[in-house]
Amino acid sequence: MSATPAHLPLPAGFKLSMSQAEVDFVIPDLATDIPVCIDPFLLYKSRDATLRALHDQLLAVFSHGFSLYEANDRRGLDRLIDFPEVNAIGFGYTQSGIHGSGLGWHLNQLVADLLESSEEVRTRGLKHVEELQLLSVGVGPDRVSDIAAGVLKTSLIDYTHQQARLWKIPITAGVPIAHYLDPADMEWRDGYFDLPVNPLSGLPVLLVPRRIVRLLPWINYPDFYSNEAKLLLPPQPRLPRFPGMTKVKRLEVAKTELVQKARQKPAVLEQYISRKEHDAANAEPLLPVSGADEELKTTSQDLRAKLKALSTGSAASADYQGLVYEILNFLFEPELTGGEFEVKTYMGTERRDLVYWNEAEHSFWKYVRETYNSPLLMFECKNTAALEIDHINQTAAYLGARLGMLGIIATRSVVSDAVMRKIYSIYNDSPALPRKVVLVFSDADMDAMLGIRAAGGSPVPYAQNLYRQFRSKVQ
Amino acid sequence: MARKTAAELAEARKVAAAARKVATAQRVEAARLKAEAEAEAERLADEYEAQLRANRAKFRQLESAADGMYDEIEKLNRKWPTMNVTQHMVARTNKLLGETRDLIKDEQDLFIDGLADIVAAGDPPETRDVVLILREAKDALTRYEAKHKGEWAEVSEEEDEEDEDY
Repeated sequence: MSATPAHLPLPAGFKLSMSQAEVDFVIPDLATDIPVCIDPFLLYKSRDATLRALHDQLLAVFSHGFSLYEANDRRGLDRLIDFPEVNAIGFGYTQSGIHGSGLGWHLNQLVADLLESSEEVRTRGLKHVEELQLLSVGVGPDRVSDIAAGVLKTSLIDYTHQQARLWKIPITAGVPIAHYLDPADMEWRDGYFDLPVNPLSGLPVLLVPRRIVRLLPWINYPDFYSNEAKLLLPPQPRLPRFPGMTKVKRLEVAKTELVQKARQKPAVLEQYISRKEHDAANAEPLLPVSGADEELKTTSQDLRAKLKALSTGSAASADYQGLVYEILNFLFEPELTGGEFEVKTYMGTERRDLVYWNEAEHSFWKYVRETYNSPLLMFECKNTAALEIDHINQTAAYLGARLGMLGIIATRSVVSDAVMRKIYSIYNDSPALPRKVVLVFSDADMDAMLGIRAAGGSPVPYAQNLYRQFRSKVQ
Repeated sequence: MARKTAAELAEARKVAAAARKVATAQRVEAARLKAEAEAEAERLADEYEAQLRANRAKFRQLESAADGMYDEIEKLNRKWPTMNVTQHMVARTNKLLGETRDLIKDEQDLFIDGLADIVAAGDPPETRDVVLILREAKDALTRYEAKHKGEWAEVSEEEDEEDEDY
């Protein structure tokens, strides 16, 4: 019998070719947990209404739990506030394996204890699930992630389905999934779904979008302790200390005291939460960076080689579209995230090749979102030897209130002067501000940006420069 | 020599009168044309003078604005050369560049390309770059002045001053 490997990334487990840099999800390690968490704050601050709705759903669970407590329905509370670890996502801070404890019934006790001891918290409720870390000794970042994963499970199932199809991850029919939330009646249910199965454990695999994952939640206890919590602590000496006491130990000792005080004085908690909400722009998705440099180079070389080898023409258009998707993920995640193929309009009359959520918090992509009035960014893929005026007209027709006034065409060669003149005329003939802008990423541009990314730089200034050149020439 | 008959004399007088009439009409027409040409020349001269005045007035405004902006941003540049300028500074600089381009557009200035609008696109330029751009604008204005100040000297300042008083 062969020994279980210490690490088995999903591509190796399923014999697939993909790297973390080019996919939209966090590649799970099938042998052990990855030390990251789902951060509900990234749902809260997202420009994607679907993600914000999921954050509301998360809070609704606890709000319902609080009302059950008020109604003395302890059994109802126990049933609802029940969050076993979602092993299928493979996140956690345990040293080995993929089985943490989860919260299970224990959280019921913690929440009941919290509500019992604090009238202020009962009145105020929760604005963020992560506040539980500051209000209960037994809740840490991994617990917050468990709670989020439990509530989001059905969304993660849908997402896993979509990504598995895209990356050709084998799916097994009728895999049992226990304990997913039915938001309609706030009940936990069990069911069977078509999902990938971990070849080591035989358990289902759920994929999590990178855009909602961080190393630690944005709202976290060590941060609270280092800042606002000082208002709650007594004057020097603030905390018990002994020689050689580690910071982690000090934090643990202080937490009992701080939790009591935070429950009594939610104003300090409120101040901390307000500051974190105010600084929301700094809360960005983050993944561990081990071996990143080598991976960047390898992925970049791989993508450049694929682009070079791909022929033009309609026969290879689907391949080109898929390759552009991989390249854009590699170049611009997490600023441009959640890319979707062939988005239909609600009337089904128009199809755009790729649409990304623009979640950038600085520089060019933020400027694009704010100036061209849309959290979405459209990319058209044209696998033709030469771009034609009709292609420009088609792309320009898609631009508008919903997708914003800037779109990008990915194509194989540098555009001709006639096509460039058409792009300028579309800009100049736009009847209102902002004017319609069509940018073009040719193979040469893609290659240059991949080179920059491989060297560890950001390709965003390159794209920004293309835009600047366009604006300067069109003046 | 045969004497002319009365009829012949009358005819000759008639021809002479007609000739005088034509000559008079031609003189009148010539005078009219001359007057028109003089009026047109005067109008063109006035127009040219007005254009010179307008250009001179615009130049002075731009020179004053460019000097002021350059001085202020240069102060920032001494201490924080790599600081990004504000969106307002970009907008005011672009206004100055646009007007300067408009003034010197027909001058075949080699460096007019350097006076393109700044497209911040999310990352406003650093103060050291804006100082350089403003310096280019100031130098372009200086070259423009050197080329035209001889013409401007021939145009009185009175009307400008009257306009300013008004």
